[in-house]
Amino acid sequence: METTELLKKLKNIKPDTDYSRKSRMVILSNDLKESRLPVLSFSFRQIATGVLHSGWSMALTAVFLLLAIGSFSILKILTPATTAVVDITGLRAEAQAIDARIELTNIVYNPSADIENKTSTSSITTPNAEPQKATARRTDDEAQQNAADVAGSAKSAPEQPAFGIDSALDILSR
Amino acid sequence: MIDGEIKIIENAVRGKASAFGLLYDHYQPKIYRFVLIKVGRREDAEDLTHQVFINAWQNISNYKDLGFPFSSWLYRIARNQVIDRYRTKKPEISLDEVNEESFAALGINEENIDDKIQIELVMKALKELKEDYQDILVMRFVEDLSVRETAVAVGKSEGAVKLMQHRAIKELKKVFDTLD
Repeated sequence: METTELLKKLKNIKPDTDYSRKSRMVILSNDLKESRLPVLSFSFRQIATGVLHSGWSMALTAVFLLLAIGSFSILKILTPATTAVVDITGLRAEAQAIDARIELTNIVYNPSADIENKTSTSSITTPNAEPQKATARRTDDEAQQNAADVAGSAKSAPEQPAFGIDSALDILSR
Repeated sequence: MIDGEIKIIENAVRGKASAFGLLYDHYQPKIYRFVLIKVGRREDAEDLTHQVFINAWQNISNYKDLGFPFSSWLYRIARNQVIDRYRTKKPEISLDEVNEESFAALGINEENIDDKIQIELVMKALKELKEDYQDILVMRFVEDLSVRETAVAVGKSEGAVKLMQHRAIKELKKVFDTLD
């Protein structure tokens, strides 16, 4: 006989009718009491799932925060490396150049220098040139150029005794 | 499958005992048979089958129609129930001890003595197979479940079920040969 046909013989196994009737009665009589349990367990499961979900989201938020803070601290660590690339001497020279310009403008409004300009025409050019040259030594190339231009213009017009820094600035602005 | 099973299941899920009663009437003999073949003792089979339906009734609100039949869900509960019961404890009475007088105790209502012997032989042979093979053969050839239904019940793919069925039949033939 075929194996599968032999297996089909097992279909003749049947439960006892008395047992089946009693079991059915017991299961269905527990209806009201038992049917509440799944509802309760379902709601508990829902709560548990909700807690689990919120836990996950909290954990993810914490991870993102850690990453953000970590990246900031990494930036802090990397900062000296990036500043090392900047030319400090160049920056210092530029800063000094700014100072020099301030000094030059201060010279214009120095009342003692103004008095000297009025008393001696010969001393007009030299005292003006002297501090400018001294200042130019301390400044960068651009500042030196400006100072030389101002001094040059003062020298090229010795017959103009009232030539001041204002007129030099006017020439420069043109 | 019962006529209008979907509607009956819906009512049962809503908590209608009468609807679950209909499902019980239809599936209880199948589940009992399946369990009895696995445990080999009527008392245990009755107890386990009862537990299967209690569990099913208690958890029916969790049942969702995901495209597989209700029977697969019940067989799954039955399998788990048997596994839980016999996780540590093996059946006390081996089928080797079953004789003709024990058929009544097994719940086999068969008049023909030849058929009774054949049933005994098949049960004995099945016991020699792996649990998965036993389940697949019983579901496919005793309970006439489709490959898909069986796959859902045993938690395997359809391809795996087909392959296992083929191997199980081969194994069973070998066992029959040795028993003869």
